[in-house]
Amino acid sequence: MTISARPRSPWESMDLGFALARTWLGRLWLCWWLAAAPVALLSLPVLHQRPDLWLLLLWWCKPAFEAVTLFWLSRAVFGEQPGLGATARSLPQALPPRLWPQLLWRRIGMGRSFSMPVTLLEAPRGAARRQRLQVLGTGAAGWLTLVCVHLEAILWLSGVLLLAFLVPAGLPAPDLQAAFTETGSAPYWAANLLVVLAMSVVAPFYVAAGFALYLGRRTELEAWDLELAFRRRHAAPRGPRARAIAAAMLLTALLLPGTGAAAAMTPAEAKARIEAILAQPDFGGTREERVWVYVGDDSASSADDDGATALPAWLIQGLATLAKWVLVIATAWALIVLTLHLLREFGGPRRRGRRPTSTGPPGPVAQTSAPAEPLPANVPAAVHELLAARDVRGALGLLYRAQVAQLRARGLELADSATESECLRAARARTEPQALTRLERTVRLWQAVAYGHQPVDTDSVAALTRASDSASADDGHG
Amino acid sequence: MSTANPPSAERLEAARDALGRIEQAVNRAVIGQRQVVREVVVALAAAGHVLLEGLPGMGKTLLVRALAQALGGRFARVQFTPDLMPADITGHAVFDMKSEAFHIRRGPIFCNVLLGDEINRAPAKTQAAMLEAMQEQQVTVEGQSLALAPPFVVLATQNPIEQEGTYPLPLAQLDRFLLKSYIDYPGADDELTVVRTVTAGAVGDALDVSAVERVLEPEQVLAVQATAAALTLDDAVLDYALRLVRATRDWQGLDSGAGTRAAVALVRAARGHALLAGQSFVSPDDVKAMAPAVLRHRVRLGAELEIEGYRPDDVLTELLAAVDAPRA
Repeated sequence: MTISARPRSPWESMDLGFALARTWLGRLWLCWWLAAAPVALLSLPVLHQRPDLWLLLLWWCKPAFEAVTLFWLSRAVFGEQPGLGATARSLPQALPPRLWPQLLWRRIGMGRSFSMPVTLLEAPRGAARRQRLQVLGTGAAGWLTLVCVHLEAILWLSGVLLLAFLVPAGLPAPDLQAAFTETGSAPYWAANLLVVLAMSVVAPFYVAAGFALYLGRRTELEAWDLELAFRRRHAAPRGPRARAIAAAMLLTALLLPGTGAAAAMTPAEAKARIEAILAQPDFGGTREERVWVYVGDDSASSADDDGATALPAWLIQGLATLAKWVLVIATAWALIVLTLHLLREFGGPRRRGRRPTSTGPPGPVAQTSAPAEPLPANVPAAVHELLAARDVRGALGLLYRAQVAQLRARGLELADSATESECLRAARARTEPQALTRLERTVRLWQAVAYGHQPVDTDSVAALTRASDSASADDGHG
Repeated sequence: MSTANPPSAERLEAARDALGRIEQAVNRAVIGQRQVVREVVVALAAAGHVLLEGLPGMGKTLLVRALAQALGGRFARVQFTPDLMPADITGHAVFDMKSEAFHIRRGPIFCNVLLGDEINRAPAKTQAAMLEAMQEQQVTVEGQSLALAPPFVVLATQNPIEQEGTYPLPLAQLDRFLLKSYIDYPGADDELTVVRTVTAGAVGDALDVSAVERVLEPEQVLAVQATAAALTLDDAVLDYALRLVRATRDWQGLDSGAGTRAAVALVRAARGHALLAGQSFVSPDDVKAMAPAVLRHRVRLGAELEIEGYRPDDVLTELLAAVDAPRA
């Protein structure tokens, strides 16, 4: 064995694993790619238009890639270091059918680095596997996964930023947003390749640390260190010298004084003598020691004792359930808010708008800028009413708004911010001449009345209204 | 709000004709910069000052000289440098040995059209010397206030690229400019015409404004400005202008919005624009057309947008598309 087997804490075991990975990093990395490269290359023709799915496939197959690394490492630790060719030939052995559950329902698990050695090297099945894992416990494997996920993310982001920063100033700046959002773009592919590279670099450390955790746990539970020491002793060279030593030890034992007296004693005498020896101060006696032991909160115990002030169990249970659901809902809400925020930030073109300040969005400063009222159902009648009331401005305003609304109904995109000339410009492209003439006349009259404060003949407005009305009726019949 | 005495049709026509002739005359000398020329003429009608920003060799000085030639007023040019002193612009008192008294020697600012070339190369103290002249149309020399003869228009230029050794204009100074115009590269055809025209029979690279005829007298300019100020302005249009200016103060991406002087400037510029179009009233179209030039130097982009390469015009375009136009 190339490592010293002794009880280690989980953190020390992981450190040992990282040291192993550093020692054989090249070999372990190649082992990972031995399994990953065929999957990556064979899936490319199918998924070359969906790099996101390609990356998902590689990520999902990570246990298979790590199995090959583990296969090589488990042999290297015990002194055998198969070459790359030998490892390739051993792939069927390294990827046994019992690996499938790791790629299916056990794929999402935090303790994979620890359970893989159990699954692949010990090969227990079903209940035996569960029992074995229960006995061994996953230890700090969850933390190991968490650390390695972060390492992968850091490596990936560092790689992306490094590439972005190294682009010379004269060349077009790389589109970082495209690297994260625009599936199929060159930056997106580059980012995906960097993810795979980061996975391959971290994998040897992950596998080795998990394997070291496994070894440490077995050393602790099954005294591997002692067993190995005995085996070493057992495997020590035997020969004349060993026999001479054994003979000398036997002779010494036989010649030691007192052995004859011991043989002369009866069992009862021997027992009495042993009890006498054990009763001596060196072997017996009692001693009183006082230590501080935490026994819990006094107030809690006193409250428990005081039945009158204790809350009923159903109330405590209810409050606990309520608190739990409040926590769940708050967490879900926070996740939704965070997701929406991230989508806003990275999910598309940057949107800007009114700043949510205490002053609110820019609003009208006078009554005239208040939002226009909705159009009446019968616009011509409303216009005639306004004309009868000598409100020419109101009548023309209504007529203008109604014509703009008609343009919108015909599919013309007119924002509320469009001014009169912008409406006319948009209408010129997609409106028939008669309607355009009516609109131009309406706008001219409206501007003269509203902005120029010029008198306008009400008859011309009424005629314009009738023309618009008949045109609308024709449209309706058509 | 409407004007008590809206201009008569004849007066309106005369003013529009005068502005049209100025625009035409300047366009004959400055080829391919119609938008900038139009904005400068609008500023002239609104009695405002213009900050011209553009790369060297884009015709900024030519534009100003052509305008001065067309106006027939007195033209002066000040090349701003780091060692330029305020007195070099405004003037100073000199002791006359013969009369044994101090006499005021007036600086180049006493003119009708002043070209402040590369204004951001002078320190803030010298830039500030123009504040009084631009705002109050007067200059104080040795404690004595001297009025500037109207019309008085400052056209200052600055280079947007070379920032080394420059003093960016403070917001207070920028606010005194009615408009800020960008002089961009002309189109290929226009550039061909420029090169052909300038090199035909010309020796050296002196600016030739001989083709620009004198179309107005300073007094006529004052009449045009009075006509613009008398155009009818409806409350709805005024409200629209105000809402545009106020929107800049609550707009995401802008660190600081435009002040009240910006609203005043926007209405003045809209009047000039309406007059140039021959209208007797100001419409929302005039306000919207002049908003970018009036507001772009009065808003300050946030650091994030600046880093991303946005320009104030990008934000203003979005803002204009978000503020509702008057409909009734």
